[in-house]
Amino acid sequence: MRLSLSWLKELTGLDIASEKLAHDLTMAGLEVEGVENLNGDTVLELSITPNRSDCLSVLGIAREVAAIYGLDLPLNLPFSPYAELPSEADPSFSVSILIEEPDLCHRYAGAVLRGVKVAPSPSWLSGRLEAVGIRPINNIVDVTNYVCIELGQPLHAFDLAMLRGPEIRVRTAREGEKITTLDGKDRLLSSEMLVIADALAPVAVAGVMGGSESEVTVETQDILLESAWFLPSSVRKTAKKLKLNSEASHRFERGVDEANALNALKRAVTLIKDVVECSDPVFSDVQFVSPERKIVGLRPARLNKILGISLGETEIVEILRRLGIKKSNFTKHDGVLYFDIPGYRADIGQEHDLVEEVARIYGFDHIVSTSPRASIIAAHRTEAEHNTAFFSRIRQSLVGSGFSEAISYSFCSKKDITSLGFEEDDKRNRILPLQNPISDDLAVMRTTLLPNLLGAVKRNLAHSVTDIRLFELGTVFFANDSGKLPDEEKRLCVVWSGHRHPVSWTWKVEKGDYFDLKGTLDSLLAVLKIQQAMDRQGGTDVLLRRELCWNEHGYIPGTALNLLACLKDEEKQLGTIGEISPSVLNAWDIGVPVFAFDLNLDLLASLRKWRSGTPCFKSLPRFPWIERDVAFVVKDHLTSIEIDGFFSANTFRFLESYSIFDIYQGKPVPEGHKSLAIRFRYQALDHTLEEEEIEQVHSELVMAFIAGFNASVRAC
Amino acid sequence: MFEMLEEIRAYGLTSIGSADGLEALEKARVELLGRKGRLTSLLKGLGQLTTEDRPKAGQALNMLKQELEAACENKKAEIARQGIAVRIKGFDPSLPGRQMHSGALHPITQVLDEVCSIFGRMGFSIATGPEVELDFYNFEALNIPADHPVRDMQDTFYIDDKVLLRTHTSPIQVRTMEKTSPPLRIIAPGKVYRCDSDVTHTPMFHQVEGLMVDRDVSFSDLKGILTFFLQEFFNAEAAVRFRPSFFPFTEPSAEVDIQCVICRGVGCRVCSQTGWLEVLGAGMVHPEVFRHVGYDAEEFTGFAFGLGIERFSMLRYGIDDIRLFYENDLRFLRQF
Repeated sequence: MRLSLSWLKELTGLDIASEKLAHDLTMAGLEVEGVENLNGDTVLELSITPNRSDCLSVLGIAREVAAIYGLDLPLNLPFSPYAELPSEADPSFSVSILIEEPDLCHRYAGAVLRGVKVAPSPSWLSGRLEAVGIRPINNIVDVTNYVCIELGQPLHAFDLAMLRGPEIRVRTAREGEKITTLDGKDRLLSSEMLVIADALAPVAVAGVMGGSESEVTVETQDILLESAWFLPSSVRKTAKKLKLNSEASHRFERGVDEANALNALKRAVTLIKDVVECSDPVFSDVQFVSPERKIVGLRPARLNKILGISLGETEIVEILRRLGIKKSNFTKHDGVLYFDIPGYRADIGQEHDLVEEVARIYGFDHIVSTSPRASIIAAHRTEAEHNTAFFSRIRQSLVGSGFSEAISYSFCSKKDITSLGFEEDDKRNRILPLQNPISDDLAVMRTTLLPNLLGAVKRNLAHSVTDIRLFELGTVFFANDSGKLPDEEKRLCVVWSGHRHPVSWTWKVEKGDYFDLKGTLDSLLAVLKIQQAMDRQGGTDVLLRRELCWNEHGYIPGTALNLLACLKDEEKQLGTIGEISPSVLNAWDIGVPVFAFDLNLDLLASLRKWRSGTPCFKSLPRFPWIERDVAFVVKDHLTSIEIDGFFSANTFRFLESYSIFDIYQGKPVPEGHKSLAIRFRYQALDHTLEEEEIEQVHSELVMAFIAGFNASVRAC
Repeated sequence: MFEMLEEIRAYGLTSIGSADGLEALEKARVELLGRKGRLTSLLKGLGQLTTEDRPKAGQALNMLKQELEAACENKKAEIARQGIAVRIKGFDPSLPGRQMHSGALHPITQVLDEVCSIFGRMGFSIATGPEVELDFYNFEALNIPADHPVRDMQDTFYIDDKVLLRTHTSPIQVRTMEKTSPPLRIIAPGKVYRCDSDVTHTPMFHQVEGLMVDRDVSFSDLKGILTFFLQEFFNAEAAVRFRPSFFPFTEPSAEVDIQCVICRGVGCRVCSQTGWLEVLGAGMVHPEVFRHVGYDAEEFTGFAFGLGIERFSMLRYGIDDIRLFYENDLRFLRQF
């Protein structure tokens, strides 16, 4: 809302520096966002909060200014020679006014003026409108706008000759009725919209905008001025549905003062008589529902408790009096102060509202800062806190491995997901679209974190950043039936592309591969002590299983590995790691290999089960271990999963651990085979192992391995 | 005997002195001082001497032994020095080490953690909730009725008539109060969404909302807690001001400004020459909100506040474009 200071001065008589006024209004809750000097006037740009419809006028701000500075009310309200006129319908009023929807229109006042000469406004009038950002049109329309800004009551002027009847019917639109509004657009109306109609058809959308047919033009001779009150929620619904906002709808949907309708009409007639010659006005005022007298109680003790201050009754009454809120003659002798709320304060209906008014004018600055006297809350660590701590360890671990944290939008394009080509029953196809997305690229909620991270890879490559290590912890969404919340799942996605190490004088630069990223994943699971936590929960019932993955879309089949968590009878997919398939990379215009893994963090956190996941201490061995290396020749498709399976299915005495330390293919290893060098570590807890003991178990192990995998020994 | 000693001494010092490495030195040492060494043989021959000569010869032998041993030690140290001298020739300890790639936490995460930890120290627990919300929790229960202009304060992404993307983390307040009886103190961090995208707005951003409910919590306490928080986060000397505003779920409501952290209140581009930065919204919980969750608004009072993490991050790090947070450009991310 733009406020002209010269206009304000006319109403308040107050002469004050604009900087001081701007500061004082801001500190009273009417935020001044800008000050502009314009042709000798100063204009303040005010941000009016939606509760303060009364401040959408010079009069309303004048009231605030009066309260802030303690000026004496009443204000210098514009003089009107018609102030004393009776408000009931004049028998000579020539238009029949019919309110068919009294719930939606409490009051409809009209004035007829004949023989007007429509012309451009005098400069004082057009200048003021321009200063507050309204385009002057002609003297009649300009006066209605002037009064709207000055008093906050939207008015409308009809060309009386264009009203059939002449008749005004305030009714809802009939399905299929149309109107061309003043902005030149054709609007289709629907049955819940309130319209102003003549005998035949709608001539205005009530409280929103007039129709162009009955517009006041240079041809106009006689006019009907409208000053009415429409139900805020009805005006809002209509304006929303028509996607049409106007100065009028902005005010009506926030609530205008019903009691002000006739005053505003009289003010407009006075101004028209000032700027143009015309007949004397004839007024009519149809009002079915009179506004109720609003009385609100306030307990001083309650006010002081909420604000943390100690104001006496007199001070409270005085502050409210300055706002035009007078102590009511209504009283119950119950320690409650009762106040009469003026009609223009639609926002005040409860004790709390009065507390706020007192605080505002008393000044937030005068309320001292204190430390609360509060109870100690002995609260358990919340689920959210457990997760925050767990996620924080994941983040720290990945940052330690050289990854930077990404945060992407939770939306992506539908194509981003469908191009990954999930199976029909994959839950990632349960895509949740937005009704009103910003763009097609951000039209649906993501069901996987991968697409937006690939987008980030692409952008980094475009900036010649080629070593890319990014991870994101974020929520994905799976749609449910309409009206229900989707399932939300917290996931981690890690993407990797580029060199193994940064360039250095000390080593040759090498391209990274799958096992660089696999190492990151293995380290992460080790840091989180997932296996230990699972062991402790249920021994063999709970385990982390791996399987080669041939169908995980997005990855090159056969390069990917699935991680599954088996909990009792149920097996759940924890995540997948692999190399992103070229067809997916093509869709993102990425020309370099990208490796990725993706984990279900909700599942991971549940495996971790905080308390039971505490690692269980094992005594440190007091005797040395002994290691034996063997190179086996095995079929080239033998996987580490099968080897691990073999060693968990067969127990070998003293075997403490084993690790593959070399893999070789090529001569002299036969075609279709590979050489696997494995280091076995043996250890006894109660004595130092003797050579013979080791020989015995080690040869048993080697024999079993040979038998189990149809292997042969290449070297030992 | 004494001539022999003299000869061994001369021979020994020469062979020790001319040893060109630890190995040669050890050989020389063994030849002289080893179990079968020349000096040891002489020592064994002491028995054949007369009782008169024996102490004198023994003394001389010991002195020579000590002298040769010392010579060995000195030579050993010299060889070590020479070895180091060879090793450090051309060695540049200032060259960069073998570094791994380095990663960084997103600035939003860092600021979010810090905000939560400051409130954590004041006894606020963390609470979270769904990002896709019911209209009821996002609006209705927060005293934001349908068909009311206050809905315009937040441009909302809708899924359908009842389901939307939360526009603030305030629904968590309601969900928490439904499950927990007062007193309570929570902080609710998370992503929020508004249908808005330009130079200063992104359709997704992060918010932290706080709520404190107790028997005797007042607006002056709200001022105390938030002033402490802002001074702890930004600058202990910065002035903080509260001015009246409007939120449907609090009353009285306040916008909280901090003296511009860039220009210290003098006026600059960041604070639009006002010297103040708007950083928080806050207020006393509206009785209507308490009514929705079944709290007794007569017995309990409370305050709530909300802040945007992007704004705090931009002020802390001097970031001038909010969109950078979501581009995931490593040149940006690695700076924090």
